[in-house]
Amino acid sequence: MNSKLLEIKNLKVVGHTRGSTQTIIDNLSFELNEGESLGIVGESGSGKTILSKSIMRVLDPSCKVVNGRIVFEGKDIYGLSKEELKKIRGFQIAIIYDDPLAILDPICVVEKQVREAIMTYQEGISKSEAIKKVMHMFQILKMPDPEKIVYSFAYQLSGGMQQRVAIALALVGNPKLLIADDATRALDVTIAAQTIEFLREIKQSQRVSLIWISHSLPVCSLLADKIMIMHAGKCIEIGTKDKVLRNPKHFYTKLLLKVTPDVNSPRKKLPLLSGKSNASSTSQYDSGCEFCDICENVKPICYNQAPTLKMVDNNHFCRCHIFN
Amino acid sequence: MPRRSLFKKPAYVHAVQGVSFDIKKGLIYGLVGESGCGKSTLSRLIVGVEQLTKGKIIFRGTDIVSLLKNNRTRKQMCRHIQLILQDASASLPPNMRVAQILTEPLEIHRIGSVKERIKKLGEVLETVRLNPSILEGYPSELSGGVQQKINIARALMLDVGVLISDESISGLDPVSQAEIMNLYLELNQKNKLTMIFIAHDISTVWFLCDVVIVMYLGKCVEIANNEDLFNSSLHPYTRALIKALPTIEKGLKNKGMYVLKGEVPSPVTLPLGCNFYSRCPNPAKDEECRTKKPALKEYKKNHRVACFKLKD
Repeated sequence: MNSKLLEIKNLKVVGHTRGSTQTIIDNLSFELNEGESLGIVGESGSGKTILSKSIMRVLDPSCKVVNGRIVFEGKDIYGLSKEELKKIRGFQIAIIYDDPLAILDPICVVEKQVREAIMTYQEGISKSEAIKKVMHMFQILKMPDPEKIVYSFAYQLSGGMQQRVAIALALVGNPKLLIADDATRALDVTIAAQTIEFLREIKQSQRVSLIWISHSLPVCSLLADKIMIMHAGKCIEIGTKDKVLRNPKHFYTKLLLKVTPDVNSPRKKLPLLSGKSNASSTSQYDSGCEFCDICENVKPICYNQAPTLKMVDNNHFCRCHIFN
Repeated sequence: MPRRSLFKKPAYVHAVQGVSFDIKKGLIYGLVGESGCGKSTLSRLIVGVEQLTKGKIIFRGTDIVSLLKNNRTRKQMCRHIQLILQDASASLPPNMRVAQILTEPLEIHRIGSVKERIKKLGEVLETVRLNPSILEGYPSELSGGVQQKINIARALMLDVGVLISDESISGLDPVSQAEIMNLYLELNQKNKLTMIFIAHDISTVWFLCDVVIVMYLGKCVEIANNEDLFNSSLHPYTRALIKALPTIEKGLKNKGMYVLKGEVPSPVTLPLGCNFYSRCPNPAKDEECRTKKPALKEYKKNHRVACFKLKD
């Protein structure tokens, strides 16, 4: 039986911008077991990046966790000391972003950066030992041309290779959890496919749990066991991949599935939302469901009361008044 | 285009090499390929933002290359061909209200009276399904999808005949992407708008385009009708692009992605032979492929491919 690796319980994160306070993450709860991977789908502004920053405890000073807990391997992330956090952040929990250059040091060669990470993680290891570890690691990860890559600067590498180096850096501390925040967004299709297969192998060989974040449902489905759909800081549907994709319950999930062009199906117009202009923007109602203006199943209660997450099936939850 | 260097000889980036194709009125053409293939450069050449080294761009029977070099005549071309770019907000002046942004083209080209301009504005807003309530506001207050609709509306104010979309939906969320794609389809079907739709995501090209042009490292490798390309693509790169597409089906089946090995060669030092040689998975590739450049040949009716190793 897999143990619980990560628990997010009633997480609420607010942000202060231009004098006002906005709720960025609203009462979010989910669990991730060891070896499992969770795909998180959400458009920009849905809170998915703030979520990953909250887990790593690297939130901007303008953002604050005001409620809830993030528990990693039984430990409350926000209850840890700086010393304890140092061992977790970047090592036990690692992250890769859509822009590998945000992680890679522009003025030192790849070998130096990975070696320094190894020496920080393993205090006491000698420089020569660490260099050997770098080469060993690159060989295990089956990096093409490891000798050449290792002595290059980040800018000399292609986008795909930069991302692989960023992944290698993330793996230095033998992480239990790897967060990939839109990691293939900036990559070409064929290079993204390479990266996805690279991550799939790592998932299996290194026994790493993955939080795989994307704005694209097809991309998300490739590496995930469970899928969570996020919108405006809330989880609106979560379940096993099979259940969410074959039997979606939320209007928005169904819409995401409908608007994905499928080259194997007959060409026809993609469904527009019920004739409303600016249809992709959701409602301003403070107390109701943010989809009440565009949802085809809308009921009077939807304008007044925000729905809560309800179980609709084994391992399948949805936030909608239909399931009350 | 020479790159200036401090000490070395300037290097040339061979962005577009010997590309030839016709655009027929009233159709949507897809230009697909990954970064470095030259598709964006091509779009900039057509509107005159980049200068070409050699070749012709013939619009309605006239070679417009010299027209594009001259500022005054290039301005005239804006009434016929417009470009919509990826970053919707960067194309919109932040200090102008939406109404001003939309009527500006008519002011610049001195078209119509004030009354006629307002009427045109109303018509265009309806065509793109934008709520008139946005007219008094500024673009920064609006979502990416709405901003992009404003860009499209602005082009439609001039009744352009040709619209070039350079990754105009790539930066939008999936629902906005669908809206804009539907809009393009409608504009093509109802208003007979000719379009060149540039994308790296071949699934959007599949949805929208009648004819597809696949580019790799500055060269056209395949040109065919939509059905022909997707049902029976011939070039190994086209096949790789289609196979590399993330789909929900692949996700549900936990299928491994098809992986094309290797990296794209640099556009500064081109390979000796076929540009695709280093990554071509065809076991039959040989010395001819490595040393000679395949020309685009009509393999089947209206289906051109550049490859030495096509099976007959």
